[in-house]
Amino acid sequence: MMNKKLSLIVFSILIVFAAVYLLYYSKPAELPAKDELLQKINSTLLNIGATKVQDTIYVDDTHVFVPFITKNNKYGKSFWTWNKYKWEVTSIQSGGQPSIWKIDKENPNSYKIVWNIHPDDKLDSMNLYLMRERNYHITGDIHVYQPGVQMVQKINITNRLFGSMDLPKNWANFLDSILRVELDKPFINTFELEQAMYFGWNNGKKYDENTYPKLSQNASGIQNDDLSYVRYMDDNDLESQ
Amino acid sequence: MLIIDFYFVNHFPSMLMDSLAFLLIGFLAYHIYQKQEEKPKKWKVFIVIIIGLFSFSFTLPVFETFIKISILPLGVWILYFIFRNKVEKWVAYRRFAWLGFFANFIFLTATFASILFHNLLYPGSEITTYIAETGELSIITLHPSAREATINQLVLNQQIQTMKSKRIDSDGWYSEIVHMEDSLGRRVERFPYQLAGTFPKWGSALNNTVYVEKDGKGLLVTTPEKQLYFRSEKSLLTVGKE
Repeated sequence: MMNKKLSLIVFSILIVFAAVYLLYYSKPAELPAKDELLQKINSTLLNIGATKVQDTIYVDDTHVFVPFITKNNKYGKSFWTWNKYKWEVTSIQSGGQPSIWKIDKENPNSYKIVWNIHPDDKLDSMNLYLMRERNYHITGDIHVYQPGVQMVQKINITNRLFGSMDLPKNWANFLDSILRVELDKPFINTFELEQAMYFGWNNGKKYDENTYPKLSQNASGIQNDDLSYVRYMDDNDLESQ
Repeated sequence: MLIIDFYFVNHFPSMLMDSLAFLLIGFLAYHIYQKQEEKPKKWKVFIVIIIGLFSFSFTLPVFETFIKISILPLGVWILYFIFRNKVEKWVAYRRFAWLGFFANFIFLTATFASILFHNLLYPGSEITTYIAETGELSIITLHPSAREATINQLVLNQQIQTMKSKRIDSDGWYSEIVHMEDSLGRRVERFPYQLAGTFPKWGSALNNTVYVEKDGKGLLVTTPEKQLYFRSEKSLLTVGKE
């Protein structure tokens, strides 16, 4: 009797371990077929009207960027993650402006730049920016000065209107350094960090209504916190080129 | 306010003192066990000590960290309630329950000792605390007003011992940058570089970001708690041609 009970307990524990293992550590299954992806996109974000999946771009084993086209001739982005034994779409946007995909929020070396620029915007390159406002604060006689940051990376997109790439090594190293300091603060406020550092992009030209990439920029959708918004930089946002 | 909430810090003095605290508690438990006539089950002793740790407490921020001061022995009360009808058994466990509560103060002492130890080992106002070892150093240009530059490691090693701490004039620097533009009307950042690849003193866990001043002679060190500013005699940078 006792033995029976014991083996039942051992058996249930094994089952639980196996289930947890499968949920969290299993090798990802193959990404669903393209029409299934479309169906999922259209059922997640109603009215988007996605009609064609352009490609499936694996940024790593468990994260796939899927650019798509809609019936209104919009170029969108969808973000897929293998999570708890299934492929989930975490964010969808109807515009192709660059986004920063934070694969692991606490490790900037894992951040990816992804984009799906509309062909009619006629861009052959774009500039991506890492920015921070110059700032200072004084409490009593304790001073803190925050240097202004404006780093730029030109990305050639002539034969790749959609794609993904790593953050420039310099950016990742700098972000990693300030993130370590931020995470060691007794009162962590990641919101403050998000406010302080941000990403930007533009077409690398002086601001002009005619060359402004309005088809790519005009995005709506659902955005999870694994995506960082990349805002369009006009001349006033930049200190000097 | 309640229960077990220790602030574990990952620096060496803290880990050392916490280990000593654990050893001391283990030793005291062993001592009580040996002296006592009634020998309770060992695993139960362990659980009683853990429950004994539970306490009403308040948490104070002290010396850039937190300390927990226990006031009421909540765990001892719980155990007292559990054993209310088994007085003879309670006699065997009572001392261990109180040892659990007392352990809170052993940990408190360990925290104070580790703060003292940390300050002795890693003086907070010296640059060698923050830049103790150098790996593969590199200069990251953070602002377009700066020219490409590389770090001169020889000069850095030579100057670091004698760099002087200076006052941070945050608002002065800020308004100078915002109000005075260069001949082309551009803003010139005062700290346009990051020095990457430095390590703080071993075991200090003092993560920091080091900014380099545009003339190459100033280092602005940002830590989780504060900022420090040091000046050298010679430029630490080799700046490229325009």
